[in-house]
Amino acid sequence: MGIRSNISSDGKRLQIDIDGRFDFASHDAFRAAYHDLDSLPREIHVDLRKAEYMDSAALGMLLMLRERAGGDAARIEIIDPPPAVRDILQVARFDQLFRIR
Amino acid sequence: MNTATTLASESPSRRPPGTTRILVVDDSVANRRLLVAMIKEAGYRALTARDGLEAVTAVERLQPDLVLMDVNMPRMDGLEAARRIKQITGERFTPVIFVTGMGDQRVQTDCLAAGGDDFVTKPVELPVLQARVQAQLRTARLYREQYERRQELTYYRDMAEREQHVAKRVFRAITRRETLDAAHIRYRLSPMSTFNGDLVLAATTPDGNTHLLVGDFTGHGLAAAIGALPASDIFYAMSAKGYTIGNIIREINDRLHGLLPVGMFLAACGLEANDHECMLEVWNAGLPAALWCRKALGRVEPLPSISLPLGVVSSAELETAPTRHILAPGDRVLLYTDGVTEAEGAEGGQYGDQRLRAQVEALLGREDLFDRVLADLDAFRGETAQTDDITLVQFESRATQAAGIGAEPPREPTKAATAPATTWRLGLRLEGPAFQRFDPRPLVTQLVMEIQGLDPHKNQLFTILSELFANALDHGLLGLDSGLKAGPEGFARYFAEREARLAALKDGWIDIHLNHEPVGEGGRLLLRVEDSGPGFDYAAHLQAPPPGPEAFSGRGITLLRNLCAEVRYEPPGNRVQIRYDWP
Repeated sequence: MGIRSNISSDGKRLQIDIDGRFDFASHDAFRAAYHDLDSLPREIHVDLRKAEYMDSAALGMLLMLRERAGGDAARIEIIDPPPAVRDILQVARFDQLFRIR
Repeated sequence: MNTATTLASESPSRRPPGTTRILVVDDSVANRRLLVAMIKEAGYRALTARDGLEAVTAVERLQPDLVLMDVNMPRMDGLEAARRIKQITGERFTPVIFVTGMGDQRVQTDCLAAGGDDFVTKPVELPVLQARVQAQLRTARLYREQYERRQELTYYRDMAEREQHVAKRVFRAITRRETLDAAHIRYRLSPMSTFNGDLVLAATTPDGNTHLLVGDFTGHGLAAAIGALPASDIFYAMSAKGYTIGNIIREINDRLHGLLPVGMFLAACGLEANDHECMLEVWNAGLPAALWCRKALGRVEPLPSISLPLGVVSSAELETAPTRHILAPGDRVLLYTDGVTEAEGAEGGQYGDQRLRAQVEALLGREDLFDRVLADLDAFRGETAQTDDITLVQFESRATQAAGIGAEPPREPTKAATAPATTWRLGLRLEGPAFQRFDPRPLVTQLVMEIQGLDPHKNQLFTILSELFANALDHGLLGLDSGLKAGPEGFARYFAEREARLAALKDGWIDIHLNHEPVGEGGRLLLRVEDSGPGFDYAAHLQAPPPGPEAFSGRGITLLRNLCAEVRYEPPGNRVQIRYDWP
């Protein structure tokens, strides 16, 4: 359960893994995953393989990450969302802002 | 007595140190003197009472910080006095220390049972008395601080409740209009707190179309509800002026984009229904797929989200387009927020898209579809606590088989006052590319309202202008053939073609000219619309019989003839003038 993050050894990629419910209560933990970095790497992977659920607050957190990573210049990939989470991303049409794999 | 009265008006815990007052209660003069001396020696101020009755009165009037109480006294003993004092002081804790005979355990037990907080035994020694008094005063101080904090919290809570109550009324007044009570709109809003992060707005446009917007802000409660104010303001103001739902959605999007912090947005679905052409336009931006209940075909068709929610990117970046559909009589559209499908069940699990869809399909032919879906949702949820705002809205088409034939005017002019008629002219020429982003209808109508105050005629004028402008643009400039509209699929084709040609439009112009003069009690408005197109065979058109009930086009001219005193085409058919007389 929880949110873990790490930066690849070459420093070019930030990986954030979400485990369990990704919702309102994840706010502080998700922010902590990138907040203390002075600058974010160009590439960011948000791994949702183990995410069980996602609400609109979590969608908002992805937008905050995107903003912090440079908005339109950001390259953020959302990896392997399970079907229920994929539906939520689809309804919000987040495929227009993120690469969903 | 005078000093005592002044002191009593102060709150005990607010007195500066050194003014702590201790009430000594004893019927023996000698004991009283001894205790008073000790109290003063310890640095406190002393008050005295000669029996229990006097003590009770003194506590009531002087509010001492602590009471030193003898047990056996005339008129009222110490035990009874302690009981009454505890009753009077209630939550404002005032310690009572009994002064008892040595080793009398039964009396000591009685003292504590009567509400005493501690006791000292005779002969009283100063250090012991001092220690006991200090301990009790410390407890009392903690107790009082807590009491005051509680009072403060209660005060703030009451104040917050009152403020919320006022804010809620203002909020309701801004976000709710009577159109929501129209017979063809049913809705249920269940906010999970005082303020609703979900939003249902409905309005009728000047040409009689229905605008409906269902939205869901990120989160819930006040923070979520606050964006509802600008959104509903824009919605109602623009609907009243005749802007399309597409214009309104873009405007709301831009306003929220500038207003909301990153990460907060409005998932919304807007629809515009035109009873006279049986047309439905749906803009779904992030709301779960609306369910189009096609009663006649026995089919439910989902109308999914086609764009990002509102407020995420600016309208220039917002990739969105409406889906357009032809409504049959009895068709309905169900709009809902994810609070419905994510509602937690009494036996676990979520309500879910599939159950909702299955319910709607099973109930498709029923008049009470909406109530039954709600009942099913309620049964599923049972007593489970709500975790999000829940909103379900049903729009029912008012299109009837006969709609459009008589092409009724949207509303009869009312008798409300208008400004005295004056003479004025207004001309406007727009060229090709302007039409890609500018709709002159709301603005021109608004200008007429400002100049002549023809508010009672606003809906008629807007409708007339809409018909004339649509003909000039669609047929004159874009060269579209109404025949394309044949059949329900034709309508979609027609609009796709229209959008493509509009985007490519480079040349051409449309002139709109208004000429008004006073006539009799009212006025006469001549409205001329001319386009750069080749014109059309208006004579054949005017002689053709009115369109049949199944027709998808040809209602415009019938409508114009009903609304205007005169409709005159001029050769080669690219120029039309109407006359509108009022009152």
